[in-house]
Amino acid sequence: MKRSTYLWLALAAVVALFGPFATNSSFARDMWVLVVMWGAAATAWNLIGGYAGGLSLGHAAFFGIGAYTSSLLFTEYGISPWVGALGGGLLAMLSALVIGLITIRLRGPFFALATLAFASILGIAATNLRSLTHGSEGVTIPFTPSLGDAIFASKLDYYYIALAMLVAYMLLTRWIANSRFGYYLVALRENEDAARALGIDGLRYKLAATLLSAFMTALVGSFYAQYRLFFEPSIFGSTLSTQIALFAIIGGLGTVWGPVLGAAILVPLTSLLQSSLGSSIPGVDQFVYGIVLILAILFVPSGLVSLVRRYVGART
Amino acid sequence: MSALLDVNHVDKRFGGLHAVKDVSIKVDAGEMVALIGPNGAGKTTLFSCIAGYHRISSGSISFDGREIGNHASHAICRAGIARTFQVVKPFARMTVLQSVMVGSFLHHRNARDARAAALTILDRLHIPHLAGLEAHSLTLVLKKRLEVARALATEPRLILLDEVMAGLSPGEVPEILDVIRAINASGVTVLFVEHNMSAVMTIARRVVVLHHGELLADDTPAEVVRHPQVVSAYLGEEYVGA
Repeated sequence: MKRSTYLWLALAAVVALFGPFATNSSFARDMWVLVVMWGAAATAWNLIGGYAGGLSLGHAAFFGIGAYTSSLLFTEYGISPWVGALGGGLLAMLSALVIGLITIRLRGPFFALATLAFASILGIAATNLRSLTHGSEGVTIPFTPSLGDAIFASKLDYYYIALAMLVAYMLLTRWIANSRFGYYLVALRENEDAARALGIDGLRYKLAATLLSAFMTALVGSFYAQYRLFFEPSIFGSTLSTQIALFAIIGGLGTVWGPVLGAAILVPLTSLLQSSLGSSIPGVDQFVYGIVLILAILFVPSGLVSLVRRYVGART
Repeated sequence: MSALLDVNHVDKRFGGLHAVKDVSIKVDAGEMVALIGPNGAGKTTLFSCIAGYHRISSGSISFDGREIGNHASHAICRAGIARTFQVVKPFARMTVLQSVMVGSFLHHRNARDARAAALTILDRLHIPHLAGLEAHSLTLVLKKRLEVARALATEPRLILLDEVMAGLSPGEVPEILDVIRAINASGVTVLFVEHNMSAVMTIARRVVVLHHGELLADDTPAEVVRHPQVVSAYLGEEYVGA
């Protein structure tokens, strides 16, 4: 790596480690947690959506499975969310295996639609299976701060847990991108027929990416539940799925830094627009947000990370 | 000794279209065999049947004594058969080196070994200077060369080359002929589809002719051009007495 790359990495590390101390406003710290959390979710999505080219619009399914599993195991059976999150991850992998075997053969929009439908089905199930999920009244986790219960009084504790998760996900992505697994995923994305001619079992590798992505997304879902201490079946909604995908798409598909960059810009933008415009004309913040997305896709189709690369590259 | 590739009474129908009719071809290890015939004769279809891209309607295909008919294409590649595509299928946003590494990864698990193997292949195909270019930026001629490089990187025992000379200027043909000869000399059996007859006559030791999906001739280049049906179906009268 070039020396300037190390400098930029060091700068990013300083910002990530000490940034939340810049202010002690609860709103600002919430923003830091959300950026890092959605960054981790988008990084998980990027494995299948960016590298393998499977545009999933159903990642809310895995996110929700993670949230429900760890929370219900905790509130009903007293199992620590640290353990419950792993259970949620495994359950998400199992569901990804079932849904993957059915949908991965589908190409393009058909895969996207199938994943969208899958998350909707789970949302309906969560609403109606009242004895298991408490239905539409949602799940509330009692506030009992302790390390074992993974509940903390300070947002900073949540922040560093999410940051550790994000960094681990990014390192994993980087490692995959430079390995046979990563090359195979990109080859399958670029041309599946040609990839198969080179001995790549497309189903097996895409399925592996989906399982891994599902596991990672479910962990973020468990984190979200522990952070908010309340959620309802809307967690399976398409809004959440598209948000995750958008962060990665706007930031840069199939790159290590794209998803977190997308989250770092879009998460604060959303709440900024909401607080500044939301009260004047109802819905105008959503309108402006939509315009921003359209502009980004029109003018920076390969993602914001490509702009950063150009700038960083030009300075060496 | 049994043949390396044994195509045995293979039939392929697409609904009402009978694309390949009862074709039997044997290719021995180390051979260099050309597959010729007019457009629509079923050459590419036969390739796709061998490589597992089309299911065969009847018959059998064995490779090195093992049945491979209707096996998955990736499994056939792993068995030792690599193919190129007549209509090129580049990994557009990968560089040339990365594209070839995808092939190398079949026998080299870690990236460093795969990169080294891929660089050797680029040297063998006289394109080391293209390593860093993205595949979509190449000309069609170089994309065809990349198809060969990728296929070769899987270290096959049999390579199926589908019209890799199409679109080349006469001046560029000798170079690719040298490349194909070198591939064959390194121990890889070559079965190739080609319309460039002078190239076929130069390097093939045996020529198989397909016409309307049927096997018309299977002989040495010298005999094939004297074959009356081949002349009338494909070569034209100017080849008579050549």
